[in-house]
Amino acid sequence: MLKPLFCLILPSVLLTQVFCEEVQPTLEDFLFPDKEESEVPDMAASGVPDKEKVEAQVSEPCPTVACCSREVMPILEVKAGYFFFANHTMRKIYDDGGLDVQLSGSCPVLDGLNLYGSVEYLSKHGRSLSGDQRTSVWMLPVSLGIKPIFFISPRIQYYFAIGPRYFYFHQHNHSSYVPTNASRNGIGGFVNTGFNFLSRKNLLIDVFGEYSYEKTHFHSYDKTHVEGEKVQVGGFVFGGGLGYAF
Amino acid sequence: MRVAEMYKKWALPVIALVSVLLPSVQFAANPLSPGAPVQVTTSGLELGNVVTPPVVSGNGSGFMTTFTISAGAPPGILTAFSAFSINDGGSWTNASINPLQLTASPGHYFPTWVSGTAAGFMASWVDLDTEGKPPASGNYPYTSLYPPGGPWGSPDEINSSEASSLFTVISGTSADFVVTWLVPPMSMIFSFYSGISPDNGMTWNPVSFPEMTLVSAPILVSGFGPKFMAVANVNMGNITPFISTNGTSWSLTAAAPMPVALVNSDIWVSGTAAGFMLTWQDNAGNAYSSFSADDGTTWSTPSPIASGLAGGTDVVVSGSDVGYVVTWVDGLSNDAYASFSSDQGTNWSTPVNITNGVDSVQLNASSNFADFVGVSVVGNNVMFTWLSGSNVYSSFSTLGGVPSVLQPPQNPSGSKKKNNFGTFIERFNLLQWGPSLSTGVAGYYVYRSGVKIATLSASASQYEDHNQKKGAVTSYAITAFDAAGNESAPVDITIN
Repeated sequence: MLKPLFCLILPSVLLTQVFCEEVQPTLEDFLFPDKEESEVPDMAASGVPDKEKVEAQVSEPCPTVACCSREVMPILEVKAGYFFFANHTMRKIYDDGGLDVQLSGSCPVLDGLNLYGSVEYLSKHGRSLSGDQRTSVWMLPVSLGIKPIFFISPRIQYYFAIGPRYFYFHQHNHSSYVPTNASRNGIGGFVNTGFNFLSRKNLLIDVFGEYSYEKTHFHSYDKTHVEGEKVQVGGFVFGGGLGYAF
Repeated sequence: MRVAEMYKKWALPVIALVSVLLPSVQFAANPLSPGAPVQVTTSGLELGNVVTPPVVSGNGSGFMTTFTISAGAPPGILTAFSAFSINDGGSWTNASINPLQLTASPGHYFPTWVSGTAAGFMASWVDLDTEGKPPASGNYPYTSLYPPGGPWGSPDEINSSEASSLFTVISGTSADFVVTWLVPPMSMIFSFYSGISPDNGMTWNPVSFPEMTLVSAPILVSGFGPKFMAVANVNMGNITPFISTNGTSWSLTAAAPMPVALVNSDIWVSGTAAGFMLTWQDNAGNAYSSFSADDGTTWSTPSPIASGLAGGTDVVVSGSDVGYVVTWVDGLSNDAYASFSSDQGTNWSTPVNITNGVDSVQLNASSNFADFVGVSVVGNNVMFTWLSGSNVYSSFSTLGGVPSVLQPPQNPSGSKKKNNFGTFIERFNLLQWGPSLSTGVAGYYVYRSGVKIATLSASASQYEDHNQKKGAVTSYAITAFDAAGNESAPVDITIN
């Protein structure tokens, strides 16, 4: 449990150091190494006095609209991460796979507050406990929520999002003793949090973590004495994304 | 009147004399009916000449006989050879076990031994060491495994620390193989060793026997279950058995059977679920057996089997759940004979002639090893092999009319399990057991509440009965069966 959190926090801290320390190389330097110094606005040509020019250079190290105005922009992101179940038994059974891909977006509705939405797909596979029979699951959650955003620096945003989600859960079992295919859908909730690191070209890098709660009930089959379980099929996702701020 | 008077005068003394001089052989009905001899090998350019008696062993998949051949002028180029039959000796497929030169000096011909288990057939023989040193510098026991379907694997040297090994004998069980061999005596002290392999010959762990004096080699060995019994002819005619409960140490049994007369042969041993049987020839040419059901703690009074044996030849014994079969060589005709006992040797059946005056046994085949007629009993099937001239012959027999007594599987256990998919739980009962101690087991039946629910292979050791109701009490029975359709007594498992 702590390892994924650490994996989220460490790159965030590193990226924060890179983006906040002006004398250090910025992410932009890595993304756009060929950028000429002449692209910096020529203060003399714009008629700004020398004193103001110096102050502008000190106070405006990042002159793009997206990151300097501290104005929250609509964002569209593609994210990928590693998913694992919150439920201990599910985690023991499904110990392989776990790639989670998301398409998410947010749009400002109030000052610092965004409307958030995402479509997600993930799959995992493993073997049944004691029976050692192959089984796999995939899920398709659709989330909607609110997403407050806070600026740590002109280039760094901290955010969290919370809201309900609809999920579709499908299980395939390589067993003749339980249903081969079983599907359920339902309503759950999610919360995620992370950091956006903004570049001058409206691009952003997102490092995030997410928790979801998706409880569902599988029916029992009296004829074959198969007992359905109430199970929490949500879990944790930790990963990163690449987005664009409009 | 004269005849009547003579009868009165001589009848009682003659009867008394005969009863003293002849062993009191009691013959029972004979289920053996050996078929016509089949020539196993072809002498000449193809194989050379067979120069040792053939050993034979069956494991349910077929019978394997092994022997040593010599090509060229004596002592010749010696090779460990085998012949395998999957059709009860109807035809044999010859194969070389070891292309290297075996111990090769005149008069040093040692049989190539073989023992079959579910893992296949393991052969052992005495060979020159891998560095090609002359025999005086070191001969080593070698083994090779013939897994199901064959062929023979690479020869494996057992023991590189004990030089000049001779007389290898091998026996296998469902768990281990054990090989015995002799290191030539220093003065009068004989050093016997055994090697145990729990991994079908991948590794061998040498174990020494207690030191003995005046021992007639070899030490024959036979295993059953986890136990092995080895027996030596000590002090020129006394039977000295050793028991090993796991193959890692040997101890003298508490009491050895007292022979009627001193032993004049190697002493053969065969283990079955009932116990261990010893057979030998005494120095009056009589064949005897003695049986122990308690690992040699006590032995039955020696039972006579036959008389008039060829001097010094071995009485070979092999057993199954059905009973024991012994073979010997008749001293007048050199024919091979066999007898059967279903009561641990208390009574032996009327001897049957295997060779019938044709292809009689070649005596003095090897100056190092006694002559013998190989025999292997698997369930109700019996295979005989012997050397005649310079070729191996075989004859097959069934034990007609003798019911099989298959042993059931061992150590049965059962437990409830939950097959958990996270979303569904399906309960099943897991049944586990150890293999039947019987040879020739073809598989296992599983019964639930008296109804057969599964037929499993001989290698199966567990069964899962799925979709069980929570809290249900279920009764199971497991039996072993053989290819002939015989079924063992059940072992019961109740799962609460």
